[in-house]
Amino acid sequence: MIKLENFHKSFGSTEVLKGVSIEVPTGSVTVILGPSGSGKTTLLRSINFLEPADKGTMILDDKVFDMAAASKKEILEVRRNTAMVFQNYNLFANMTALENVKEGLVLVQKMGRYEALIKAEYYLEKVGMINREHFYPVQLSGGQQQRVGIARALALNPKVILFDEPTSALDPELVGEVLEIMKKIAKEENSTMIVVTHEIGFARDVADQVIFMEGGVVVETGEPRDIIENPKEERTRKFLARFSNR
Amino acid sequence: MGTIFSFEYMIKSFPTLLSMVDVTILVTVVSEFFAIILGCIIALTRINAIRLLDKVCAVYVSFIRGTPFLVQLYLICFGMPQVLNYFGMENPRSIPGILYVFLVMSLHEGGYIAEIMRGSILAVDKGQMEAAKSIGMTGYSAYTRVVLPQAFRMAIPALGNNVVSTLKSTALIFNVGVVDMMRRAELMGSFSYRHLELYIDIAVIYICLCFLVQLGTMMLERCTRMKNSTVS
Ligand SMILES: Nc1ncnc2c1ncn2[C@@H]1O[C@H](COP(=O)(O)OP(=O)(O)OP(=O)(O)O)[C@@H](O)[C@H]1O
Ligand SMILES: [Mg+2]
Repeated sequence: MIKLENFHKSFGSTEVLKGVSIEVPTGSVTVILGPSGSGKTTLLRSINFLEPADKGTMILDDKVFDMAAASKKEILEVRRNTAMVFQNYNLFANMTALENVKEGLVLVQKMGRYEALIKAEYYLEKVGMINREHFYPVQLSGGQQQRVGIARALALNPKVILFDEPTSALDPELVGEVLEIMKKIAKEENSTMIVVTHEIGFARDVADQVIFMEGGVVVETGEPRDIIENPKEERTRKFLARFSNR
Repeated sequence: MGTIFSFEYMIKSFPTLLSMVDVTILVTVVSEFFAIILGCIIALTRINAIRLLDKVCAVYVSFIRGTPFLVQLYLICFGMPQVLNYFGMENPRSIPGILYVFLVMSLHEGGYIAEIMRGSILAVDKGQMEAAKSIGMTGYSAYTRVVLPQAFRMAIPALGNNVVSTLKSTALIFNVGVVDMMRRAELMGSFSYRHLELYIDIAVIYICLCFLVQLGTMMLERCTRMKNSTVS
């Protein structure tokens, strides 16, 4: 279980997170929706300290972290128990697909070379990339890169995987393959996932919980059916109306 | 002294001068090695804005770039023994001159490489560092495994130029008593009075060395480009 309590974050004088609290049970999928600039990316990035929060507490299973006063050791601990899938993939450009997945296993988790290889290949197989394992990122399409990115995150068996708009940089015809993989791992791997996306369909089909954010606060939280089909808040309704019109 | 130019003497002297090329190569290789390490340390210190130390590095780099190499050479080779002496060292002039030369050249090229590496580290996509951190790598691993390899690849042409310039700077080290091709040519010339032939030999040797470095750089660039590239 991961629980965020009262996350605050400002850039200069603009407050981007104004006391965000969310809870995600182990093995469940939470989708965060919200208009551009509402702070979704910032929230995800504050979880693994890429953008440290000014204030807030995080509970990761049984460990409590004060986000504003975490030591270097605690930051590493959080990062080693979480993984992130980036909007623009961020695969290590100097490594093949296989090496990308193996890197964290060998270097961070100190796994033996052989064991790491087996595990990395298992996850590349899972995302359908085993036949491209020796390709470098530049030699892969966006969708393929993102699938490797997902394998890299999965292989670490993190307590939670953070997805920041994993399909929004992709050509439309490649979005489907990545969403399929995400659906598959939600089902098969029982991973705890927090997904920021504009794919309402994915939220409806896969999420256990949907959170609607706007202006740095959580406006509404609930089951996908409740939030998407009949949102209580006017702001949520307005946001969703844009998608049903398309 | 009959002919204006003795082709025969030029050919005859060539092997003698060439036999001294090991000094030139040794100085280049050793200094370039330490210069790259120093350059990376300075670059990282400045990029990560390590308090105070980054200011020291900035001053250092502008000193290196703002003073002639020959001045730096004299400063260290003639000035440093004086300082060592003051601090109680018995006979600092007994230290072989070549060690002073290693030091100056490493410090000098290090200042230039710092700027090369700073540029290329900053040119590596920020997302690379973030991805490394997100999987729990330490800053050290993130740099050595992800950022620096990519920065080096981008820096290959500039580093190649730097090696060429190091190579050419070695022509000055005879000024502080290191016996190399230049010194040998000077000695031979003082007997034969055929300076033209001797310095043409030296020019030929330097041209060949520089050509080899450029060739190596190009090959290195090509084989890293074939394997992968940062443009995505
Ligand atoms: N590093 C930064 N420095 C200054 N302001 C920032 C920074 N990062 C984000 N912001 C600001 O914080 C606000 C929230 O940004 P954030 O990226 O979290 O929004 P988002 O909900 O992810 O939006 P989008 O859907 O467009 O990705 C925006 O107004 C943005 O301009
Ligand atoms: Mg965003």
